Amino acid sequence: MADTVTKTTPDEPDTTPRAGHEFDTEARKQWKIVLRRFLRHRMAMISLSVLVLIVLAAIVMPWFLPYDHTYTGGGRYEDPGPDHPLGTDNLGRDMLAMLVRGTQFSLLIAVVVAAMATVIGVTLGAVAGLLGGWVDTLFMRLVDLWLIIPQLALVALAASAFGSSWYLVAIALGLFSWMSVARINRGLTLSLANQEFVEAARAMGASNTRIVVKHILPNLTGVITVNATLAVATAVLAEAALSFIGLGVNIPDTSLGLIINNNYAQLELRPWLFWAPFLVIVLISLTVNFIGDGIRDAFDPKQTKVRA
Amino acid sequence: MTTTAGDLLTVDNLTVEFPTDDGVVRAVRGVSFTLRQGEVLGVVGESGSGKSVSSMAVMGLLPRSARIGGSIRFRDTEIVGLGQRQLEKLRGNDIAMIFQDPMTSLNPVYTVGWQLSEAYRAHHRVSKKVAWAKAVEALELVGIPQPDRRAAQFPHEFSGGMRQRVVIAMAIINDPTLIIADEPTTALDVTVQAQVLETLLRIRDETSAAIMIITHDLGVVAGMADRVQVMYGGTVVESGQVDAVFEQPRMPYTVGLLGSIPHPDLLGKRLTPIKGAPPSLMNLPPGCAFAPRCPLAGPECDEAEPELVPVGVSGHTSRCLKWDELGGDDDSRELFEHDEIGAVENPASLTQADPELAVVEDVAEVEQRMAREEGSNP
Amino acid sequence: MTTAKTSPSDAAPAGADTGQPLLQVSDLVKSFPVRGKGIIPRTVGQVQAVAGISFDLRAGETLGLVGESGCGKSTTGRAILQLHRPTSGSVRFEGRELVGRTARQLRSVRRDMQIVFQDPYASLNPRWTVNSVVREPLEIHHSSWGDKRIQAKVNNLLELVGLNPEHRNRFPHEFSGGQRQRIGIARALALEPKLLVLDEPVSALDVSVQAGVVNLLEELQQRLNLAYLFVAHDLSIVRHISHRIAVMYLGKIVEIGTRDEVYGRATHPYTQALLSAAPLPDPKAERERQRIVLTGDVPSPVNPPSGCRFRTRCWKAQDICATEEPKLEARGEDGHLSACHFPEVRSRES
Ligand SMILES: Nc1ncnc2c1ncn2[C@@H]1O[C@H](COP(=O)(O)OP(=O)(O)OP(=O)(O)O)[C@@H](O)[C@H]1O
Ligand SMILES: Nc1ncnc2c1ncn2[C@@H]1O[C@H](COP(=O)(O)OP(=O)(O)OP(=O)(O)O)[C@@H](O)[C@H]1O
Ligand code: SF4
Ligand code: SF4
Ligand SMILES: [Mg+2]
Ligand SMILES: [Mg+2]
Repeated sequence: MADTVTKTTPDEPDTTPRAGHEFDTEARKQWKIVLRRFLRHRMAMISLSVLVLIVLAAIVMPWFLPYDHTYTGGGRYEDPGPDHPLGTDNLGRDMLAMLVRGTQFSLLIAVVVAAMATVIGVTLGAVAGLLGGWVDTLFMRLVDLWLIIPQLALVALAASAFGSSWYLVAIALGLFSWMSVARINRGLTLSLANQEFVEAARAMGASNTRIVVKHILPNLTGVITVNATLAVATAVLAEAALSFIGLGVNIPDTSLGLIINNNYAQLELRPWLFWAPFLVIVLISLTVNFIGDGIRDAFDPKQTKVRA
Repeated sequence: MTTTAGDLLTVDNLTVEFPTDDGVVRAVRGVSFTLRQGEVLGVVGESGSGKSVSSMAVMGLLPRSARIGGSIRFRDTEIVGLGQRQLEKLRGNDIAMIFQDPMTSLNPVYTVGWQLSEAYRAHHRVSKKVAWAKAVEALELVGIPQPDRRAAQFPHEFSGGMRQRVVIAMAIINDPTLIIADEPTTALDVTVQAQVLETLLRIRDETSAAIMIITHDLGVVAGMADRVQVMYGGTVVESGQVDAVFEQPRMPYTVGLLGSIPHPDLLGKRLTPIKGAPPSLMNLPPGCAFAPRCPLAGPECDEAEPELVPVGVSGHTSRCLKWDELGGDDDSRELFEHDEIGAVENPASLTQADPELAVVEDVAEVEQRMAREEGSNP
Repeated sequence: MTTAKTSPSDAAPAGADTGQPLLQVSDLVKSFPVRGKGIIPRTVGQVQAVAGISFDLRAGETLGLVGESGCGKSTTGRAILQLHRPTSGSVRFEGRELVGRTARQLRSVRRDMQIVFQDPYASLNPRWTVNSVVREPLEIHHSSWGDKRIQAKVNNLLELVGLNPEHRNRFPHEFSGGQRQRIGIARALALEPKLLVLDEPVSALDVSVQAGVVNLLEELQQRLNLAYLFVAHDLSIVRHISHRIAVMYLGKIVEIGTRDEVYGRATHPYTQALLSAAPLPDPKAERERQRIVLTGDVPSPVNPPSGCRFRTRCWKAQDICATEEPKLEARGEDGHLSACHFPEVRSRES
């Protein structure tokens, strides 16, 4: 048509298809589309690479460092130098070795806690929201009950019974961080369950499991990822608090939270002792956050940030 | 395009494209029209021909992925390229839209009354109480029984037609000067439909608001609109005064459309839809978009897309090279007479592709049975 | 005339004389609790969305269901499919009682009864491509088919309802209203059900596509002996496709009969008002059309009027209408069922 002058933005190349194009449009699988959208999410991909680097570093670096976290032979508070790139702390431990070890533990704890909070919270929330009735009531009471159990006392009890270790801390933290996730997901599921597309699925004979997995969960990805991100960040910090009162990671092992706790007094004099672990925590939280955004956007077809 | 006094909305050469994975969807191509104060424009046409998309463009509501070209002027404001902030000021206050799917404009987690009063408070500085009262009043205006109780309910507790009336209430709560109604009465029964259309016309008479009404119900257009615009394949193919277009359609698509309407004469017979499938908006034919389905098509139709040219009566335009071959309206059904069912040439292909599909009765059996029945009760 | 060109005749449909009806609904009631305002929502009453309706539907037959918006048509459809558990009454499908069955027991029956929802946007998962939407019923019930066969069937269905292959990877929000409605139709046809509840299946389609879908439905009905419960507001479409028509008002059926009985010799005042309000697709005739204008408010289903539910708006109402509920029974000359104390055919040019 002659008079159609399109004012398109210049950076958009004209991708008018050739004749016959429509006939080779393949039906794509749902998960492939989601994966593709995720792979095209720039921030998520950058974050994923950074996170992978951090994880690799935490695993691989111990083999190449001259000292490990048990070494205490350095001087007290040495400044950074060729021998100790990040200096030493008050006990003469090599800060870089500590940092690597701390990252290992903090990541492990964060992953376990976030996974537990998400899996328990989302499953219970979605099931309660979908089934309603007495299941729902029971569930809400359970959450209330869980909230009033003194978390620290229980962890202390467990620690005295089984001896304290990182996985005990992680599991304990995980057991106490799913409640808010569950509440939010229950509320959302309740409103999703009332929507017609869920009814449509039911009309087709879909089982409850299928409805939760295929219909409810994809619509919850937004909150799930936000909450998982939060859980990672809070887990790192909560673990620090527990370690501080002697319930978490034991010396000579360490974690990022513990390092910060030990060194925040040196913020003025030797800022790197504080900032190095802090930076790693921030980096982990940020990358997890962006990856979460990427997952959310990949599941949300209305998101146009990723052009799929 | 020149703007004359009284012109409320001037759309000039509007184009909208959506880039997708499989290519660019050219949803709207070169649409131009004007709307005067107090005028009612009916927009009809093929499903997927860009009616909703062009009205969304006027509202500035297209998704970010859309590429928009051309110009849309509301009074003296150019809407294409307007910032979000200014659009929000126009939207809901000067221009109101009634959406096709009521649930897209209602939030499932808030009560209807809350949503209505928020819509009011977005443009008026009043207390929540006053806004709530206004919301109840608006619900009453669109004929919802027990509006005060209904206001406290959630959208899913309303029937389809009531949801649509809530959306209409939301649109008129701020007394807009341009109302775009996208299939406002599709979900309503005919008595309530009559009531809602009367409400819209009353608002038009009181405030001389212009109304653009998109609908598939040609009866609604016949009864309500001053002018009608027929869309096909992303563009306007015919427009003019309602009487002229209905009595002397000058575009084969319009003829086919009017001929598809169920009619008491057709009881016991198949309806006559237009043969063939709607065009792919990613892959339009070079000439007339309707050519693959047009009974009048000739080789000249494939050369270039015809222009929208004036035909016959003043203001009547058609995008067809052979408009003068279309005379009266009696021959429309003949023009499109064929055996086709649905969009597939041969519905038997359904059974061929899936041999296990149960065929309960053989066509021959049906024929025998029908013959018997016809014999027994003439 | 060949059979392929025949659509519903007024005579009983195929298979009408053989055994029991496919679907038997009797005294079906569905009420919803009404919650009051306040911090703790309390149930303050009941809406009887469906207030005791009964009808039969035979294989190969189409029952048109029309009536005021909000009168309970969609709720009826949902209650039949047990998507809303009926409050009381019985729904028998192929002789089996559905009311009271567990979700698990119902799942196998669901294959044979499908629904096309009224609101095409709300009934499609916004996160799913069209291809996955139409695949879903096949994946649930024919998981043994394997990917190739399921996909072939999906392609077929999409083609059948007139959607291009290019549409397959798109998401619901990328479609026009009519295209969405056709996705819903394709999905419902996927399992080749015996009963199809069509809740406004064509209202979002242009008249040409509408005609195509109606022809398709009629064709499928003749081939597969499907039964349709066809809910619509467009009276001319209902007239074209239905063998019998039921008119609902405020949760009750007020008149039911064959197409010609209801369209030609309606005896209930509400039916007459409804028929007179249908707009005509002809500007001149439309301007001259005489319409019965119903005055008065639509009563609330929470506390419906005593006696005849239509009496608050009926121009013929007498004292008896307030005290005695008119039964749905054979009235008038041709004896089709109507629920009015003063049944009368209104002279009306059609
Ligand atoms: N976000 C989008 N991405 C890609 N294509 C789109 C998008 N939105 C709409 N379309 C396409 O643009 C075309 C025009 O859509 P539009 O909603 O305007 O149709 P319509 O004329 O309103 O039809 P209906 O009468 O069925 O509502 C359709 O073919 C549709 O598939
Ligand atoms: N989930 C629900 N909770 C409470 N009330 C409901 C619910 N669903 C429907 N209703 C009420 O039941 C009545 C009948 O609704 P229904 O959707 O069946 O009407 P309908 O005849 O389909 O109307 P329409 O033609 O407008 O779609 C309405 O008053 C409605 O508000
Ligand atoms: S231009 Fe040709 S193909 Fe197009 S509508 Fe007119 S006659 Fe038909
Ligand atoms: S019973 Fe009475 S009120 Fe009801 S429809 Fe008949 S005349 Fe009107
Ligand atoms: Mg539309
Ligand atoms: Mg309904």
